[in-house]
Amino acid sequence: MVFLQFSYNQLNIVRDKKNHINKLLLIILSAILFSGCATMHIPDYPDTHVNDYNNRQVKDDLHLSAQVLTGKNNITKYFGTDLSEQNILTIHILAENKNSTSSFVIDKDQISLKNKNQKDNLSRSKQVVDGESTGGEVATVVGFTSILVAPVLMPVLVFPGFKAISNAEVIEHNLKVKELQTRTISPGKAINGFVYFILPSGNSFVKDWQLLVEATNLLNKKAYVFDLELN
Amino acid sequence: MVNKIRTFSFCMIIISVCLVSGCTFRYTVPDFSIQSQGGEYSNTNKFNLNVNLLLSEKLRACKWERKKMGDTFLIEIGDQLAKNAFEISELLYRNIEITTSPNQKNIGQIDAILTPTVLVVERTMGATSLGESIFTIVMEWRLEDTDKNIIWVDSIKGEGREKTGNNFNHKKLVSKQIEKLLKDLFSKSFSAMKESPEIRHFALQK
Repeated sequence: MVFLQFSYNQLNIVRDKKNHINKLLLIILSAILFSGCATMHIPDYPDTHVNDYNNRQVKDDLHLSAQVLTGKNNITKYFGTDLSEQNILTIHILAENKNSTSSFVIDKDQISLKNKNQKDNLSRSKQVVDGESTGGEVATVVGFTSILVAPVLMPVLVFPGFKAISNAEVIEHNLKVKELQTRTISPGKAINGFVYFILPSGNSFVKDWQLLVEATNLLNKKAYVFDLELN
Repeated sequence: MVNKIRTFSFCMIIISVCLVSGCTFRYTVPDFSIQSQGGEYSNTNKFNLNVNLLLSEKLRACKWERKKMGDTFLIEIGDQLAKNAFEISELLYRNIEITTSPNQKNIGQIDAILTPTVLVVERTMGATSLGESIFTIVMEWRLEDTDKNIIWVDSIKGEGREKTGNNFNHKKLVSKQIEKLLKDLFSKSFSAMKESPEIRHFALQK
């Protein structure tokens, strides 16, 4: 009984001797509340038709169009973070096969950016989807800090730490899942997805670049290169 | 008040030591079987093809691993993916021969090579135990003829959503989540191959 009384007195962190709610607990609870309990949710990109974008081309009845995702709010809404701040160019690609007999393959490794003023091409960036530039970094930094903090402050900092790690995971997951992958487009079918490029610093004018997409007709093995303006 | 802070600090030190020392949570992958799923996978019109199913070492080694706050969370799903890939291939093609390397020679006459490859394996964890966790695998299926010409290729996304769970129920919830993911991934993969006009056309030519 004495032990129980001792435990209650020593470990009662909810109320102090005057039976008032402990300030420390209030700080912890408010830290949890202000950091937001809900897991981050990123919506799907709305359904878009190949004719909705101005930058489009048709080859062998394969319709292809592309649009750069612009505007901080718009990018943040669909990717959870402003990718343009890190010089990442996000392009939405749509393809629709209106050829009644042939199927086409779009290979994600055959998508690149061409600088109009230079000869070299910029290939699709693996670095972005490997999480080195966005969510992954946030997760590492926040996670490491949370482990090192003083134990008393731990609950205050750990919850926002968990929340930040969770957000970073959601951002990274969303980025990878929305990426355009290699696919066959059967007659009458359409595909869409995003590609990401890290633009070289000091050369971030979108209008200087052209998007190159190679599509192969599976029936006659002929390859078509679509070169789309980005404006 | 000082005593209380001391006690609280002591508890926090113990908790933080536990956190820093870290644990490994190795989740059990459920033994999901396509054959037990019934009508969804019915196919009376198999492709008349002898197919070499290439189940690479990389596929079998596929895993999701996350280091978080000193803990390691691990889902080794490769063998299960290989098992289910074989099961749906058996339901779709007349004859299946398994190899584990592109250089391995086939015993019989082969019409095409089917290669499943995992492109994305990602899992999010909620900020709280009630927060939603999403486990996603994007798998590429590539069917090529013996001269390496593409007959058909597609990338299929499978997803399993569950609550993140707490220390008492997270293993059970992750197991449920993996099963949902496998159902989604292989049901979509089965439909995509079954309804492919490119594979049907190739099979008719043989």
